[in-house]
Amino acid sequence: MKTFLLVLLIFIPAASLKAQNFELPKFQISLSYFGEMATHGGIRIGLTTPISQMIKEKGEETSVNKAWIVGGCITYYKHPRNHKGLMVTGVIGRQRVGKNGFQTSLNLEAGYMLSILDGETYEWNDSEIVESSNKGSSHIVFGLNGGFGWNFDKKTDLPLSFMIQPHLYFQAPYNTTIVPRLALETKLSYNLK
Amino acid sequence: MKIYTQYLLFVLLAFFSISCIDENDLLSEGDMLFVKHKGASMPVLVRGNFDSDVIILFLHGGAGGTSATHIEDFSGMVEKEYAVAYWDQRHAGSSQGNFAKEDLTIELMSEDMQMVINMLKHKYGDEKKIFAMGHSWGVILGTHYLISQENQLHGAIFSNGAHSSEHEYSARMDYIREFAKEMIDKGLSISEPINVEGETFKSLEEIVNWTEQNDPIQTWKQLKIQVELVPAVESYVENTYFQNPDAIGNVSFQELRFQSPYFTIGGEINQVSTARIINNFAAETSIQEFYDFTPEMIKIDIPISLIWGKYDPIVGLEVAEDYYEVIGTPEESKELTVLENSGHSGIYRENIKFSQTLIDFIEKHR
Repeated sequence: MKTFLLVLLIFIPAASLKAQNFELPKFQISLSYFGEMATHGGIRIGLTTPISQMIKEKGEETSVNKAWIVGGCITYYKHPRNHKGLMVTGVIGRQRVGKNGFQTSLNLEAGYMLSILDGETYEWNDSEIVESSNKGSSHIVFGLNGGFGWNFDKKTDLPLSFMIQPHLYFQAPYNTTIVPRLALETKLSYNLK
Repeated sequence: MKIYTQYLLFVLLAFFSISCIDENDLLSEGDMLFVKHKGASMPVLVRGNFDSDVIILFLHGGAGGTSATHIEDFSGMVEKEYAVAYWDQRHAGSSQGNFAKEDLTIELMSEDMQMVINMLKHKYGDEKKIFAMGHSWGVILGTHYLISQENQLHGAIFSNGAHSSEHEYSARMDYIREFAKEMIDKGLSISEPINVEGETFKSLEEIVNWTEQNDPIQTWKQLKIQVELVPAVESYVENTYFQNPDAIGNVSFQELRFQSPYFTIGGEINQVSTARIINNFAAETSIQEFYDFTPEMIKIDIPISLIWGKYDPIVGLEVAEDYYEVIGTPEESKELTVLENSGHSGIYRENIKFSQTLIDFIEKHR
């Protein structure tokens, strides 16, 4: 991950400047580092598409793009010795790309979560305690995430964007209630025209 | 230039987001086990000296607390001698699951405790000697286990927890009255009025009068007032009688939050909702009937060590003195050690003395 970021750091400034009339791509495929509580690492893949887009001209060579997007994500992370989480979620959100490519987004997300205990698990089996393979439990998740980053496609030939997105999401049921969780996503997206 | 500044900003943030993924010993040392029982999935982190034939089962406070914060208390001296099983009870700490509020009962938690002991014996050998170490609520749970379940414990160490609500409230009343009078004698006063349950206390004299007119506690309203009066004298007691903590473990809250098996946000939610559920149960019970294990404690005959902070505003020393008297354990197998410079958290504040007392007790009775 660090190597990849270094490559971007070196490579991006060298890319040639691109013409105006930028439109958000039909699809964005994303690959992310997803850190539950930032440090419990995982991976996330997503696909989004704009369902409505507004382009606001800002002079002859620049514009601001605003769009409603929808999509879906599959997320896996591991909180070591606590649980492994697998989430399949749908997303709807608002995205803005500024005149220099600076990008922000705000999204609502909801879906299913499979939580798997990360450790040897034991259960009472009629007359004795036995090791159990029954480690999973099903939950619904819903939450909010927002982020900022850079859409390189706007000013260069690179069909990529990069964002940092903090997440606040809720897992239910959790004991007798619901529980909030925090995560930090570092996302690289590829723009499909 | 602006473009590059923005770009640099988020690359730095990206580096920051992945730069602190370093595992520490909480993520690798010992065994992380889970017990699933009647809707709860409860973590048990077992650390320390696995060559020892003794396992200490930690019963944390609360209800709704966590054993995670006690790793610091025992990672210094105790884990060098024995294995320690840090169990998070149902609806507490990092315990997960899905069950009805009605299942958050001390009866079911005692069953859970039996399951944890069964698991420890299954995993590490039936010959292992299990000692319970209960703190605060953990004493209530451990005592309930000893009078309601088929005992598998070799002994128990209990600190600053109660076995009888009547003794708990009485000791707290004495604490408030005694130290309020001491403050009056020294010419001290409260910094601001205390408003609770429609009553206002503007001076220490009013507080002393209230304690004399409301002893013994007979209603939930009186209990709420009593609890709110504790802070009027607590700081004075701490500043006058307590030492600096001498804990020798080293587990920071940040480490627990970001680099451990524990889910501290979930733990905080568990703590709040556990308190709410138990308070709701309490509201449906008369205060006199709330809890009193005394009549059945004669059944307790295993070695018991009571290690108590002398100035505890929550569960005072006279509770320990009564506990010592009412259990059936023979005189030579029970002991009461007073921590002269501590309140409720002697396990942390006088950690070296606490740990050595615990080790001496286990060595005597293992």
